[in-house]
Amino acid sequence: MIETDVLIVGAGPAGLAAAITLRRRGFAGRVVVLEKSRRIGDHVLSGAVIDPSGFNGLLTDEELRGLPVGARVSRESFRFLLGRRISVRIPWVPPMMRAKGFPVGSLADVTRYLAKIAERLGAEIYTGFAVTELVMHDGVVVGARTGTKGIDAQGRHKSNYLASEEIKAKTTILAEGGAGILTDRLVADLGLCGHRPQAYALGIRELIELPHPVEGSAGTIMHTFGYPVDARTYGGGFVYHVSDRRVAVGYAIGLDYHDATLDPHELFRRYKATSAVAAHVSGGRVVAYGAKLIPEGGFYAMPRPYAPGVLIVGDGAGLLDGLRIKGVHLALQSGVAAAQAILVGGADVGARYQELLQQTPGYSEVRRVRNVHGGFTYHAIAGVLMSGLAWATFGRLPWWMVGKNRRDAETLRPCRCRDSSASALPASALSPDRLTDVYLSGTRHEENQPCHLHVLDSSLCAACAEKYDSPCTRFCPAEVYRRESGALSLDFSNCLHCKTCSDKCPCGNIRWTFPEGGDGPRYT
Amino acid sequence: MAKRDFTINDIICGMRIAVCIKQVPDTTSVRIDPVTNTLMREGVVSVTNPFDLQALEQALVLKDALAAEVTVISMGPPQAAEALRDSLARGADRAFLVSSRAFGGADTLATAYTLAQTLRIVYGNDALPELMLFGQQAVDGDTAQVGPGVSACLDVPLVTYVRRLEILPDGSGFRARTSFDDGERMVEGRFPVVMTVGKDAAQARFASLFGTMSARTVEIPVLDETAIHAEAARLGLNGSPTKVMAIASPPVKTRGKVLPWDGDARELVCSIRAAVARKGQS
Amino acid sequence: MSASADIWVFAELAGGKIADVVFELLGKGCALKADRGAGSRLCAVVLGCGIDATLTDPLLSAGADVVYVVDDRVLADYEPVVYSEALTQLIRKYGPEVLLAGATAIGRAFLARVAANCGTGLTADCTGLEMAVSARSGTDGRPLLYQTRPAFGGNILATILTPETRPQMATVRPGVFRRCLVRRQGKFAGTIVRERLNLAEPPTRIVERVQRAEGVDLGRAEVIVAGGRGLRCAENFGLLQRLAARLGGEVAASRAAVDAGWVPAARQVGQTGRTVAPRLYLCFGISGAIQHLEGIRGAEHIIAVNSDPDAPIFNVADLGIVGDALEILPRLIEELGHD
Repeated sequence: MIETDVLIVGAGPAGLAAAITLRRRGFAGRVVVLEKSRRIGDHVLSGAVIDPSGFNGLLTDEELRGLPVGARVSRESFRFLLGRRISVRIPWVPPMMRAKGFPVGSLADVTRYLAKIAERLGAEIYTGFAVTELVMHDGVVVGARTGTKGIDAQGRHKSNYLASEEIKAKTTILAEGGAGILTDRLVADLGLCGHRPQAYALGIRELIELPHPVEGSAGTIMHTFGYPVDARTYGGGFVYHVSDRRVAVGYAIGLDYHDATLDPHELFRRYKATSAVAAHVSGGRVVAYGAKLIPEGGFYAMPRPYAPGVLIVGDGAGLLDGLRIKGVHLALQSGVAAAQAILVGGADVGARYQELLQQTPGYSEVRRVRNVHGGFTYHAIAGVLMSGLAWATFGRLPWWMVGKNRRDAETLRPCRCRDSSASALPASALSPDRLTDVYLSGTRHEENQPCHLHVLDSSLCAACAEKYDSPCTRFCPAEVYRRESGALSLDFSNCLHCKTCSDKCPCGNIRWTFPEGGDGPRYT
Repeated sequence: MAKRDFTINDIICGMRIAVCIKQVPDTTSVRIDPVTNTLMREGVVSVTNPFDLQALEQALVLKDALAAEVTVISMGPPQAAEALRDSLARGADRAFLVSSRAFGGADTLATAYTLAQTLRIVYGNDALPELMLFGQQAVDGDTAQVGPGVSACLDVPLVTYVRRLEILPDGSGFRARTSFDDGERMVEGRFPVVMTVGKDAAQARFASLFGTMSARTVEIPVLDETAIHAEAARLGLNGSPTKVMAIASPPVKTRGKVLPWDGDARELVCSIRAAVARKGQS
Repeated sequence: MSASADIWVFAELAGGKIADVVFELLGKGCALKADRGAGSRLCAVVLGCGIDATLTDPLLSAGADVVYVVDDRVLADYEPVVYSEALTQLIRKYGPEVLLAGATAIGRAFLARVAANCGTGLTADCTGLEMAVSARSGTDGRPLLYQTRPAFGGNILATILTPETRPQMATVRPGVFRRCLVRRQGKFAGTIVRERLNLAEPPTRIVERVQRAEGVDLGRAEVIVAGGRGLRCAENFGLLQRLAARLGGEVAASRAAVDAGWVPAARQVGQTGRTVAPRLYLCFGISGAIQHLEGIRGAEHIIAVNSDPDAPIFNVADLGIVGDALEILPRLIEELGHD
């Protein structure tokens, strides 16, 4: 019988912030963190430029000094890309977007650092265990169950079969990240959904190593918008010099796009090929790759972040500053708030958590930019203008742009022209093809296990091929889905656990489930 | 449930099994740089040597069947305690870490001596455990020498490349299925015995969450050279007759000739014949 | 222990005959003997029961100056303790400079015990051996045996010396060195020395022998013929089988072919399949995704056939042919059949 006072599902920034705060402020009970990846940080991906306000009240000054980041933002720029070669530098960085002095580095490294602090303070962290189910009793979450291990591809028990284990918890904190399975299920089952369904952007990021260090380049960052997405698609990119020799390049594209032939990975490659980006990375080669969903439905898509026995923190609670596309500091603040609510104790931990969450500085920002995304669903220029307006008026304008209520899966338009064989860029050191990128993500799965991606009704795939030309073969950033002579085939071992497929399949036909604990990407 | 290979008529009490494990870099997580074709250093984690996990699994199977006591021993840096804790989580009863600066730089001979001394101290010179199991080889060193070396130091019989292990019905000895180049052999003998266990011997069991939690708080004793009564001259670099002089990367493959097919197979056949006939250097 | 400059080779028996690898080692041993100088002799050591001229003659004709024979009932079957005891006693008596053995299942195991008994160094799985003078040679300036071997899953090559202890021991993989030429016919100049040793009964015994278990071992194959998606169907793998048979090699496949069900998973080469290091890796219709390339890094010679001139496999192939595998395969089978 495994029992704990607090069970934290997910050892990302939000979950660890809760664990650290609980232990540091004298929580007498047991704190257990369960993480499905093999090692802390393996499933953590971001650029990243972190708003350091997230560490206030969480880390001591000494701990802050020891943060494993390569640089602080020294130079920043904004560019609007008109095409492959032409871009315009925005001469003035809007004040709310400024990041001077912010730490730039690997979020995975920062997460590992937080985990060490949490363990030192007495939290118990166990990796390689996927929590696949919440245990409810009379409408109250009383604990959770881990996934089984040792099942072969035919579903039979292998000789080392390990049964699912139950862990009872007085309070459970869901810190699964964006599109978390348990979170989504809980929100749906208990009607915790926000005013509109959550919407996501797919973020793709590579780490590029330059042939020689460029002195003084560490801390230079650039944000861009415009090309390669058209005016109707929400997308933007970044270039962060995390050290003198390594550059993180990323692109986020809103999954509410309409064009079924769109290929996010290919878009990312075109983005890297623009002069604006090439100026930063020429001569380099890719050493790491990853993809993740970013919740960007904004304020109105945030679910109620609690239910009896359970609190939701981080990306799972839809906490993202939609203007700056920053969520790490919000995740950290929500973890702290959750811990504080538990520390106070009493019967209404959930409501108290929500109250404390609403008092965090991060939350007010999210509220302030609540109507930003709405503008972008019409047109990029409108979006930019509306963003400025929204921020300036503290979110009161444009009140008429709450945003459409459609799910990402519903926005695809049938293919008019079958141009899916549009020439892909030739592969190169700086622009690997998708399969090579998958290799660089380090993703590994136990081969002999059932496919964790469930195609609910394969007869729908033929109709989808007709209407949309099987967009899963394009929107998956890991080449899991392939169409071979008419039939859809799946290479689940390539999976990056981003869940784009679950979100974007126009037939709602794909359900992502947990592979064996310990499987998945190994991000650096 | 897979069939376990043993038949026991009488209960054998008090059987003791020692398993020596090593923490190694996870070679499956080593990646090659697609551009330079060389090793990428990132993200390589330490794991228990997969062959050692096979040895541990054999021990745990016997523990399940015979209530044998399983002790795990590892010689390594302080970090190797993680591998020991993982073994405890999988079901081992107790663990010892053999660690000291004095052991640094040990080759297989010095390692074998150190482990042999440890076994003598942990169990008592006249009371060596019935079974001393090793993984066939470590995936970083790939020598397969430590197990046999320990059997020599302890002057104890040796069985290598074990795939299946049974205890004889009267408990007096063992029957092991071993793998050789030309096939397999069933070997019988008495205790005590040193065995090296090969891959594919069994699916190593997972550590349960419960097991991992229990193992978390176990105190793992650290034994240094004084604790194991070792002679300094036989330890570490001093006790290592082999010295590594140089380490190099294997030659990187580069693009050779690329020719269009023009119907003429001769060049191709020539190359094939040359490659097949060549028997390496002289 | 007396010391000599002799180069010893353990003559492993396989199926009642001297194993092939022994002749490769004798070939190399000749060269080492010459480099060592100082009256060094090449010696073979045979352990067994009923050792007659059919076993010792080939060793002499292969260049052994001395063949040490220990003929004893207890040595009838290989057993690690008694074999290592016998070899250890011989070493203590004669003090050879170098001892080589094949890196076979037998050689690697009991030589490790011998090395521990003698307190000397053993380097396993050598892919290179050279005799050369080293800074560590000591005041007499004797050449030392430089032993090169792969480690870390084949990702690094290490060069190792055993400067102080004797013998310097090494096991060598079969197929690394060239088999020696048969030098002497008719009268053999070497001598046979029969030793009587005091050996105890083997502590373990073989109760049953089982034929080689089913299954292909790509890891040991010297020649591999592999196919990928470009072969288009399972039937075409039959062509690969025939080509492999002609070359005495094994059939392997990329992940795509295995996923398509054309070939069993045991034949998959790559990141999630086997890692191979054959002398020749001949592949057809394999594009060369990095996941596949990871499995063939150790291949000595890569020849690739693919219809796509941009296929990444050509970046690592010694010879690449741009063409249709299905057209080229039958031609090759035909040409190679003319032997």
